[in-house]
Amino acid sequence: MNDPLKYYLLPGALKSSTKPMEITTLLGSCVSVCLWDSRLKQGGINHYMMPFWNGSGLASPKFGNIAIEKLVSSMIYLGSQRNDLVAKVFGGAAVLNSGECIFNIGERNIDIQERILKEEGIEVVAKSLGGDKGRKLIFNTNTGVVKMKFVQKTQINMK
Amino acid sequence: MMKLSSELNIFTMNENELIKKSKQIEELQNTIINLNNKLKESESLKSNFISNIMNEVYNPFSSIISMADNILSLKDSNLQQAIPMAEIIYNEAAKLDFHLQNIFTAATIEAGLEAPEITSINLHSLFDDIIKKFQFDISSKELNIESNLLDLDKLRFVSDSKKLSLILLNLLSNSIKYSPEGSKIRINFEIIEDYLNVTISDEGEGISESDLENIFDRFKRIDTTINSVTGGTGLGLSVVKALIEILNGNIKIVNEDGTKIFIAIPETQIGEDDESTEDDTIIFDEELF
Repeated sequence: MNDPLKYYLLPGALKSSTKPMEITTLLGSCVSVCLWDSRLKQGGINHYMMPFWNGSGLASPKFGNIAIEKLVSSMIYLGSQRNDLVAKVFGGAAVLNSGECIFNIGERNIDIQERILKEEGIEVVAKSLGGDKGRKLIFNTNTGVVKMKFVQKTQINMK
Repeated sequence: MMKLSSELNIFTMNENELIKKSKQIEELQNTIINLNNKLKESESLKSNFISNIMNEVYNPFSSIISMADNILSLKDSNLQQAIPMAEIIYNEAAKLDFHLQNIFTAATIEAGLEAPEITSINLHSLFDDIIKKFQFDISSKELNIESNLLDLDKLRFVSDSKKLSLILLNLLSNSIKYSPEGSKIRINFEIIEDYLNVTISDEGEGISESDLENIFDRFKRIDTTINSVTGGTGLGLSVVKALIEILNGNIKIVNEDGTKIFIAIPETQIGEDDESTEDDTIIFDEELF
């Protein structure tokens, strides 16, 4: 069998594919939701930087509420059924050192995926969230396997 | 919000903590009010967008069709007359191309599918192509475009050519649109520490403080009065902002004897590799759960 295609996912983007792909992304306070369809063996991943689109600029998947809905829609567009989808979620570290502020961006990014995935009725089967270290992910869209390692802040060029 | 309520155990807080929490609640309340206003505004801007887009797409199309028709009906002896008509066709087609690029780019960004395509760019030919697209408007408004590009030591820059071009097209288009006839537009390029800095200054009326706050919102047009002659889809600056973010750059707009726009874009480093090892990798396998 051919090696899966390699793809690097940038912050604010999303990628879903029917073809086997290995999608890499680097997370700090950002969160990635990986959706995997166990029946069709296909998956998709997003990488959002902020929880909500506040009406400024374009309604892009840079924002959690947009990114998760668009990821679910893109999987359904690829033929998946909502019941066959499971989620793995990663990121939301407190790498920005926001002090005592309770509106910590990483935490808010974590909250929004919890809420939306619950609303969408998608089960979260694995997660690694919070903490103070960044994460590097490699998501295999064919097997649903996610390889993750913690990385230092300096390795992540996050805003 | 749930998190907030769980942290608000008022019986265990001292006065300072209470003041702090109440300030944070006020901040949150203001955010919700602002968000609500934005949503309302966004709805009305969206309906304007449809009528703007009809003008911006239909008008150039009608001109192109009628000019082409005129050329086709020219007699052999009058073929010379085709040249100015062909110029109009070029100008209208360039406008159409520009608006369609903005619409499609906005759609790709909103779909999360826009990614940088890095090449080595010749800044001189990139800038020449941009100026060529606006030549008709520059001549008809008798604008004087000044640039220091030829003074630069280095003319090559590694970045995404299409994105950089669309950013500059939008910024220059705005400057041309809001510049009074016979005025000057100055475009200053400099490359400092792997950053391309571009400053575009015009001698227009500038932008009001309230418009400066939400100038990057999609569908937003500064002049939306019924007599507005400036046109546009209202997508330009929101596309510019999003493209600059994709390229990890910055943009700033200020009023200074007209409008002054600064952009700074870092040169992309090719061949950045990471040396990760497999030993500390955690595997999240479906079968484990």
